Amino acid sequence: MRNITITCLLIYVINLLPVAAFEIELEETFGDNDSVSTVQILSSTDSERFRPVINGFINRNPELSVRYVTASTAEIYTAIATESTTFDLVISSAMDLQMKLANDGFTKTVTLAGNENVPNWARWRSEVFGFALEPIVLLVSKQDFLDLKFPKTRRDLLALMRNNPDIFINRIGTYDPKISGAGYLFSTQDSRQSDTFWRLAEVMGRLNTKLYCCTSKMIEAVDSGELALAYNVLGSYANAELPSDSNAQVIALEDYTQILLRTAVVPLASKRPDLGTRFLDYLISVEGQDILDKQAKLPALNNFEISKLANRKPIRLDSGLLVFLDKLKRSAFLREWDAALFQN
Amino acid sequence: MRKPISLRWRLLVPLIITAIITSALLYFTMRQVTKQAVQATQEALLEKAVTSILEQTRFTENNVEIDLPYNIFTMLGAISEDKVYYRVDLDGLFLTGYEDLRLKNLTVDNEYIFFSSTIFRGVKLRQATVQQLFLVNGKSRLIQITVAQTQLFQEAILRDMSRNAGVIGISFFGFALLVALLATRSFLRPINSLAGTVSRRGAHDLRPVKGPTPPELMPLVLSLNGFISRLTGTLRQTETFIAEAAHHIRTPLSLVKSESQLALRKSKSSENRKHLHNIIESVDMSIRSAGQLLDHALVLYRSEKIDEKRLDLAVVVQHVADNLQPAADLKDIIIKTEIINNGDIFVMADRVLLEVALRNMLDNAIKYSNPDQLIFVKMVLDQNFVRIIVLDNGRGIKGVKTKGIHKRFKRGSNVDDVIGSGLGLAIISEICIILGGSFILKNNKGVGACAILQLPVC
Repeated sequence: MRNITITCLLIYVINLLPVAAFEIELEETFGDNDSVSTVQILSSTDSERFRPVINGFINRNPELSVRYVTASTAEIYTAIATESTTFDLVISSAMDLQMKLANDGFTKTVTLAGNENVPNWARWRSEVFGFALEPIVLLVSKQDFLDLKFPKTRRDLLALMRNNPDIFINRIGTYDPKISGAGYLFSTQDSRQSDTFWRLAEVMGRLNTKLYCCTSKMIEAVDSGELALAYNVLGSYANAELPSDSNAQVIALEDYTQILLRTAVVPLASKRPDLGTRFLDYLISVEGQDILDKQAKLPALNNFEISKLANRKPIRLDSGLLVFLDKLKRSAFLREWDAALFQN
Repeated sequence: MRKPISLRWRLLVPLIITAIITSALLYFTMRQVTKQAVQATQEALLEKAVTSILEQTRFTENNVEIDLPYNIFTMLGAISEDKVYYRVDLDGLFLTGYEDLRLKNLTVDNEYIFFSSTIFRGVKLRQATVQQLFLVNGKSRLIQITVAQTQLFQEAILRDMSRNAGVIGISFFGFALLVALLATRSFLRPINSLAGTVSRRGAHDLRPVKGPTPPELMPLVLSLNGFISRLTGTLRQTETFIAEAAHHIRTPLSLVKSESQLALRKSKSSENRKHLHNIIESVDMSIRSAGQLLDHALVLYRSEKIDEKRLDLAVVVQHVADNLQPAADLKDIIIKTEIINNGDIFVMADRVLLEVALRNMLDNAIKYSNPDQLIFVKMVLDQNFVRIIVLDNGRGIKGVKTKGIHKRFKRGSNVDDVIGSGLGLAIISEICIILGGSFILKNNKGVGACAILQLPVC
């Protein structure tokens, strides 16, 4: 027992150490080993998805290599805000956390060569830059909807779930906002958009909804037929990962479809902010955007299909995003969430 | 002695200083107003933020619920993308927000919103603080809420504003400078025109200054006129004196001459006759000089009140030639007048002055001619001018410096053997100026001199 205590203490102490105390998912280096310098990138996007863009960047800059470290959005925030990491560019799908990094003074003001490539709505000051879009969609299992109409709005979805509890019980999935930063962002933004959200949460709770850490697991579960539907799924992942004859169908709800911005910041602690800026400039360049859109399947800022979505609601990159990061606000929200989801 | 300051600068300097001060005031006022307006806008938003949070604050059994209003936060960043910080304290203990944000110490009875400026993480912030006491289960609990924002937007606006205000201020200054210059010029114009009027006058024009003058300049004009009239009086006295003196000399001289001629007729001794001849010759010259002095005084006198008339030049020339013919006869000289162009020539001139000028020209010609010679007086019409040319066959002025020859009592360098006063050419020149003509004395093509008087015709 005593040993266990000591071990736990040791782990705790190790976690407090500044060097890479945050949890790394994967670390990969692209480019020649004998390159002159290395761009250090910390990202929440899988390296597999990002590979074409990184390769494109290295083709353009053969003297550089790229060290690409992936971690969850929450770990990324911790790494930059509380640990002395020295990444040159931080890419994350958690707009709110990126926004908080910038607001709290952890990011550098950047002058981009292709400044005009980033529209005003996709940037905050000259610190946070959006480079790709991400529609938040509903994923349904086709085999369960043979006799049912696909829902067009959240109202339809509510009615569907209420009327067919036998199909949906134990077979609905969504993000767990407690463990997923992205899930928390989607839910809180949902709660701002309409009151339907809380009714939806209650109905989902009654149907014993399963909570997931990440989109890919939900996609798998819908594709396999384990889940009948998954609410709030990253659209680009679904489009990229599902084969054309998949059982899963992507639906962009028409009452509103939230659009997330994948953003990048150059941390103040960066040792080579010029390299971070260079990579960012590549991301927003015409070529970078094209590779993102066509090869990485991360919709570019001017993606045509997203631009014609009915009622698209881009999550605004502004100081409002800080509100739900407040610990009291967060605990209040999660309390409500628990109350809705776990009714027994 | 200090150099006197010019009127222009006396006027310009205060005007320019005023313009500078006004421009600077304009600049700073605009800056200040903008600063206040931007600050007031920011404070209104901050106030809205703290009061909204306060309104949303609720106490439950043993808990406090704080709701940060999403839209207010969005709005705080909307105009400016300024960074936002906040902090909520309960009973003086940090509850949520940014713990390193310094809270303004307020006394308990402060119920209003308190604005202050602070430095946070190296950046200047404007912050609004509000506090309120809640009574929960018989216990009073104090909530303090602070929302703060950077002032980058304000600085950006002020930068823009300063640039604009600078441009306006400088433009205003430029405009004021232009107005000042124009005002100074218009102010000085009457003075300059007065000076011009006076300086354009002829040498002997001593009429009082007339014409419209600004009332402020009247004292100057009046005293100037007073001075002119005193000067005129003095001059007239002098001329009268000279004229009278010449007259008084001429009369006894004429007596001396006639007595000497009588004596000459009676004298038998050749030596005496020679002496008497010399006396008569000298007396002649003295009479002539006295006459010229009279002429000169006459010219000066007439120049003040010219009596211009349309004159037939041929008549005047013939009259003068006839008058001088007896003097010419003494040396057996014949004076011939001719008009080169056909037709009559008329000039606008004072007859007396014109006659004096012509007489002096002919007199000189006679004086420097040898006996038995011809003197030609030609009148040549050349467009708007008439040239009166007097040609003699005398010694001419070859090798004589003509510079200064027109000055009073100056004589040519080759006439020492001929008695003269040195007034003749001076008189002609002065008359020329009065009549608006010109006078040239030069060598004739053959022998002798050529005197040309050029006058405008009418």
